Amino acid sequence: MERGESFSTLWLEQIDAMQALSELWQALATPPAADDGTQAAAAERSAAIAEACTRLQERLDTLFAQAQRAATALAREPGDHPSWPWTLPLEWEPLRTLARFGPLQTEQQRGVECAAAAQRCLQAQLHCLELLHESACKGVERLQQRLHPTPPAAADTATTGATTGSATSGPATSGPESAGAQREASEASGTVDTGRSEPPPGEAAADQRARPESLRALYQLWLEESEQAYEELLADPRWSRAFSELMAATTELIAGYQEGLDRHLQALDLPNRSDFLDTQRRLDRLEREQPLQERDRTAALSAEVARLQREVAELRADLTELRRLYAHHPGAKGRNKP
Amino acid sequence: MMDPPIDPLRAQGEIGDWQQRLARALEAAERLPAPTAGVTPVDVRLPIGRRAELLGYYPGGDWQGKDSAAPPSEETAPSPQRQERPPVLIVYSLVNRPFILDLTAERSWIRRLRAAGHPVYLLDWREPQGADRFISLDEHIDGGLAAAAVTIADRHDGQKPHLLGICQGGTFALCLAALRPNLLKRLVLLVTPVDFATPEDRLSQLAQGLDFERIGERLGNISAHWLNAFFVALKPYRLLSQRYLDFPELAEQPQALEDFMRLERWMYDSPRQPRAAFTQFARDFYQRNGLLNGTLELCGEPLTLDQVRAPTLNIYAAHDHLVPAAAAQALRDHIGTPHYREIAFAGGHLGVFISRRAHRELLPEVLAWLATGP
Repeated sequence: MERGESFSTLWLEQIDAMQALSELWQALATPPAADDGTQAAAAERSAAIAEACTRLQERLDTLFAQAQRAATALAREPGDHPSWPWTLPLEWEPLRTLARFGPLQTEQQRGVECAAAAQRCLQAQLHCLELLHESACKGVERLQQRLHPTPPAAADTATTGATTGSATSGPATSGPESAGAQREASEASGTVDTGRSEPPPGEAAADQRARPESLRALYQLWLEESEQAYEELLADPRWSRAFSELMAATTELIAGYQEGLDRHLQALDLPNRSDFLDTQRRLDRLEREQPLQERDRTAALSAEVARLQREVAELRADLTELRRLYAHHPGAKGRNKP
Repeated sequence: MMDPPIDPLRAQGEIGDWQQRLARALEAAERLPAPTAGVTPVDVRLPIGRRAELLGYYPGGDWQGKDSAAPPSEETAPSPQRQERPPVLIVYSLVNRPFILDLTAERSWIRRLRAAGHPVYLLDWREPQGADRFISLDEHIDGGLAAAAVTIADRHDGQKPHLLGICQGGTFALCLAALRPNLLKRLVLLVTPVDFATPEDRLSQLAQGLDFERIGERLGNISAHWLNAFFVALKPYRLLSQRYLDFPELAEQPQALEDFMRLERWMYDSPRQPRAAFTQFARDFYQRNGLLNGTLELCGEPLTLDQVRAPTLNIYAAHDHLVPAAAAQALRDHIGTPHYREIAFAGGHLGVFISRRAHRELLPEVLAWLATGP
């Protein structure tokens, strides 16, 4: 940002995000336990970590809310009557009926269908975003658990995600897949594995907390926990359904645009998608038929050559026989040979 | 247990260091090429079917390239007839480009096979054009892969090639081995899916609810960007975050930086998917799991894995997020040949091709297996 430039909302948000990260870093810098053994310092540290993680989740909530607002600004609830006549949305139900009247009804209906497809696509995107937001929040929850594990009994009352409301997970262990992928990426790129230090097995929950000593190690923890949360989302049937709906909605939206564009090009007597497909289909047929025709032609030629060879052989045999007969014929002497 | 104290100021220094290394790495990377082909010069190019091309690499080759200063005389020039070891036909997936097998001179499957005395042929499916949307999987197998095997045998006095199938190409290789068993000698499969419905298979889970016919009808040949986005979405944290955060670590490692840039190009330089073949593969293999269920029909013939009689080496990666180990291991219970062997590689999908360990440990095993038996 240039000096003197006014602070934009985006810039403020970025500062806010850095602030939340800085708070988490400060919380980790808090001495975990006083030398006199009191629990006050530990509790204070735990509260600071929880507070910082909550701030991080709030950042995710803000981002999601912004996306949601942008999407809902374009959409309208069913039954929501717009102010007549300037802001009529094409998906408005009475307009759908009106689109069936008049000489341009086919065009009008196509327009309405296209608008409905756009609306459906938007909703599908929003639903996917909602699930991704949930997963990202879960990743922060898991990070918090790694930094300061909550004993199982207290887990139910521990600070949870700002919007997800899902139960706090236990200390995560990275699966073989993520560990393998990490090893693979490191080996392939030649980079150094800066992964976390594994807590020794069998220790109490309080001693299983991760102790990142650098920002990079903290990032690594966040990455591993977020990835684990994302893996769970991928395995969730809700995600498969949301993804399928997104793909179907996008396909139908593209179909709508294709048909619209096709009509416009046709009106200008320019080749459109249908024309190209027709040409390509004919070309495909020709390419398939050509080798077959060549094969048939080659086979016919081979048969013809074989027939001619046989005929030549027969003629040669006849000629030989004629020569033989002629040589023994009494009147052959003194005359030209055949 | 006392935690070590954390120095808050350390973060500031860490970010500063990272930024400096990033600047150096970017500066060094700017001068590096971004190749879209392998490093080994091709000795011969042969057209196969309607679109594919067979790239041949002969032992003693490289005379066209940088390995020797001058081309050899006619007597010493590499030729297919002069070799003793059987040729190897490599068939790669339609999804990415095969130059991952020849990404760098130090880690090239093609060079290693060639150095062991095998004439190597790589089937390049090439970029599908508009009319290629109608080319089916049957045509890829029969008109592409089978035709390549026949062409190679013709060029090597009737000697059948070993077939090395990789990922989706491995599935194609299995299909060929089942349908036309007389066309190949031995079969090597790398990270090849056989069971497309294992619990860990995220690709399969996502594919179940998709209407591929409708997608193909509307999108035609499937865009590489779409497919790349689909694959990246399986590991977004690693591929879009960690990979680039680690990048500055390579600032002082020229070779690693070059490898990174080559891999970076390869990852997103993907061909489009021919519509008919893509739809058929997604439906028959991913949605119906036809290869395992025995419901598959290709080239007008039913196809089952017990038809595969060629000696088979099945190599899978233990931590593969694209082809789970179980998806590849399923072959052992269904394949027809008694000469079957498996190798579990402790790594991920790409590690099998490009990791140092694969080239140090896996390749010698493959070469030894090819050299044994019938």
